[in-house]
Amino acid sequence: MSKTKSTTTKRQTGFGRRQFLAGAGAVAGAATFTTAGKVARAQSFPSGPVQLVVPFGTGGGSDRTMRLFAPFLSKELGVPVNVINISGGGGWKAWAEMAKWDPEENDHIIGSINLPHVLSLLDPRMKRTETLESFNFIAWHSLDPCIWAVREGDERFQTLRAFIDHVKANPNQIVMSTTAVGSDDHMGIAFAEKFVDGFRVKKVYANSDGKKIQEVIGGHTDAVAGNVGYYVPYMLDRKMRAICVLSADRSPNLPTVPTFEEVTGKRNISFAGRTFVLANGIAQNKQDIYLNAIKAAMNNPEYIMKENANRNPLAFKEGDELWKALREAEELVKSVKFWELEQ
Amino acid sequence: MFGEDTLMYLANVVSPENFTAMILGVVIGLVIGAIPGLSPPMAIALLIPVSFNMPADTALILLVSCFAAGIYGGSFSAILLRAPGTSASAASSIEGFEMTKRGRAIQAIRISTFASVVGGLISGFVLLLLAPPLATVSLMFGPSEYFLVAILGLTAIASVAFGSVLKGLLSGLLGLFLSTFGIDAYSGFPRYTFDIISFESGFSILPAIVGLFAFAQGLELSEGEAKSNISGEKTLSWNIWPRPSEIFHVRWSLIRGWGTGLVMGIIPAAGGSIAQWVAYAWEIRRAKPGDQFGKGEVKGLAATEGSNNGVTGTSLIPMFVLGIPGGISAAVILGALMIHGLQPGMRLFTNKPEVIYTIMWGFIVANVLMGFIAVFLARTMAYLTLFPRGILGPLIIIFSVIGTYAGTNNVDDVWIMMGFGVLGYFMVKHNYSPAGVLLGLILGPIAENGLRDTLVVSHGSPITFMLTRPISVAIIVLIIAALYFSFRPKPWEESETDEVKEPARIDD
Repeated sequence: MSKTKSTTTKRQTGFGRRQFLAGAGAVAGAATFTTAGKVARAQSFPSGPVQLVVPFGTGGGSDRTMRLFAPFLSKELGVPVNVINISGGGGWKAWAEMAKWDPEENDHIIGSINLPHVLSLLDPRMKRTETLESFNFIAWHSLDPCIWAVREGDERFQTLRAFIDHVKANPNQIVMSTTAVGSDDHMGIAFAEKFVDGFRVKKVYANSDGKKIQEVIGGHTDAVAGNVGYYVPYMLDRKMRAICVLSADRSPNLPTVPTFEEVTGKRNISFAGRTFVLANGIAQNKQDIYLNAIKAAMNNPEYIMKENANRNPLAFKEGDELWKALREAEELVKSVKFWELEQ
Repeated sequence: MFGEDTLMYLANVVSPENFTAMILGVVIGLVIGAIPGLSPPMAIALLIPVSFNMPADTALILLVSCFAAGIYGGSFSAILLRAPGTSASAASSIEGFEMTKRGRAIQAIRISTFASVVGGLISGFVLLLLAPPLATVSLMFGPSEYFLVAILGLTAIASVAFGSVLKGLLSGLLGLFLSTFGIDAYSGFPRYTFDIISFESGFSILPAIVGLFAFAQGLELSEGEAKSNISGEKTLSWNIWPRPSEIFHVRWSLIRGWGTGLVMGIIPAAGGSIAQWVAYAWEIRRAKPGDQFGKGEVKGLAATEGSNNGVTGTSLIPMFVLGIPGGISAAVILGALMIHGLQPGMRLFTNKPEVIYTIMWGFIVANVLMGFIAVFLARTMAYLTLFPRGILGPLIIIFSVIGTYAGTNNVDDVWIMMGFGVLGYFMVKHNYSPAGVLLGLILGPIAENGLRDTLVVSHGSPITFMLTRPISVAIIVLIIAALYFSFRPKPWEESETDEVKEPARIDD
């Protein structure tokens, strides 16, 4: 980053040159007007607009969630919160920067990190230098457990037990739609293949849920690995039927659907999650201000209502509870070692 | 399906708040669409926080208006500057800009507006009347159909190469090769990433388009006499309303373009970017003696402009009926539906007809409104073609850089865009085809994933598998026909050495 600007300017803008260019573009301008009017009160910190970094492009799931959240966070912080998309490298363009944020210069910027995407740092092929400790995680935002679903009306698979028995009897004949290797959806299938004897399926990979849903509803594949929040509407519409949830407990949205563990005894837990990070070593009082604001915004009934409609399950966690969840996710990836799987 | 009740919802559209939202959506869409590097999904994403606090029908009308206008706005810069603002208007930049260079910019805009507005209208009515049955058709598209549709799209390379088929194919191969960069979905293996983080997600389409067309154009304009302008004209015509005679001249091209757009729109995720090229290549293959494809043929422009807006309405069908978003714009609209407690799917049509039909009518009315606003905006923007090259060239370069950066906040994308720009500049100089590179880049992943998925779902016998699927067979027939018509000898071309007469018609 350029050192030509004064520290004060940088502190306010976070990105220096970046901010200047973004400001010159229409994006920052248009994003500002959405929140600028909602500033509720002035306080010493934060002293100016705060940036909320989304590691993917505009319009995606993460972007929509954070843009929905920004006005509520802005109300708590008392300053505008502008969503900035830094996309590239499947999130790593932004995350590599977040690990290097300076606690003084970058104290007006909050990052969002997606699980398990960030755990691709465990994949030796990617040659990452970062570890989970490289990030100053302060809060967990949402957690959407994985599910497996089949087409409504597919009589072969009334239950997970029936599905597994069928797969065992016909190894490599059943085709599942999943998101790319290393995703939460793929990890759940890979776990089953590794730890359930004789479980072997073929996989068709996608980069979007749209493709997966089209494949399974259209009868091109037999089952799909997705997330509760995203897939519940298709169950309500009687297009699909869930056969299991990959979480410790049953999902309140799908109370009749058993967990993978209930049926098989194997603790297969996989989910998509979003977390917030700040610069490493940021002053404790500043960190507290952000944490309290995030907590308060996430408790705002209006926000909870919107996220419920959006079917994005909120799951606030902080401190030890947050790190426990991170560790569990890390352990799952390490146990599956998806980079060693044969194709 | 269509009755008095459907018609009744039209009245909701013209309520003051809905109409205001529509104007806002159209203007934002047109402006953002027209700036190279800023795309309709970006415009729609910026409207998310605003729209979430509006009533459902107003919010959705805002978003669908912005979507329709964004696709069309991309055509202004494509036609006037050869700097397409969206991937959907890349094909229009070829004939459109050639027309501009020949002083026919306003005629190009007239045709483009007519083709886009009517295309959007037809597409909107198809959405309104035929959404549920057509949604079942989109479900029939599986891995093998995607693979074959991508191949059909790739056959356009031979047509848009304009004479040098070998160079066109080489360009296409380069595009296909570049499309393999990034992490492989099937293994998670980083292909050709050279440990550069930004290569891991592969080359995005937007920086590539901005580079290949806009930035390259900026470089080209920076050559030559600084005070001369693109069109060679000193004044602009005020004839902004299309004339019956010029519409009649391109009627079949329009119909083919609209038809292609409507059909391709139903294919989730793939249709929008392929339709314009399929429609364009179709026109080129049907070329008659005297047609000036590659040199400002209005039939080519009519087809590409008709198809890219013909796609818009039908591409929303899988989203409304099945909840399957075909692209980022549709995903945002889907998100907005859900935020307002509207679950997409057939239940939406039965439980909340007032909302769904108001939105669809909103889309239709927005297309008409778009035509009126656009024609004045485009007329104003056409003054750029009178600007001296010395100003216009650097301006395009600046906008290309800012637009690309604003989209991703990633400086690497600016370098990637410039890389494509330099590539595009030299390709044009040496008669290679930047459009071929773009087609390879867009269609490569669809073809690759389609083929690999087909190998999986067919359990290793893809050919037998395809031959048992009616839609696959139909696409195979289309591919064979496309190849035959691309390479069949055209008797008139042999005697084409003497000057071909300039098509005698419309003068501005």
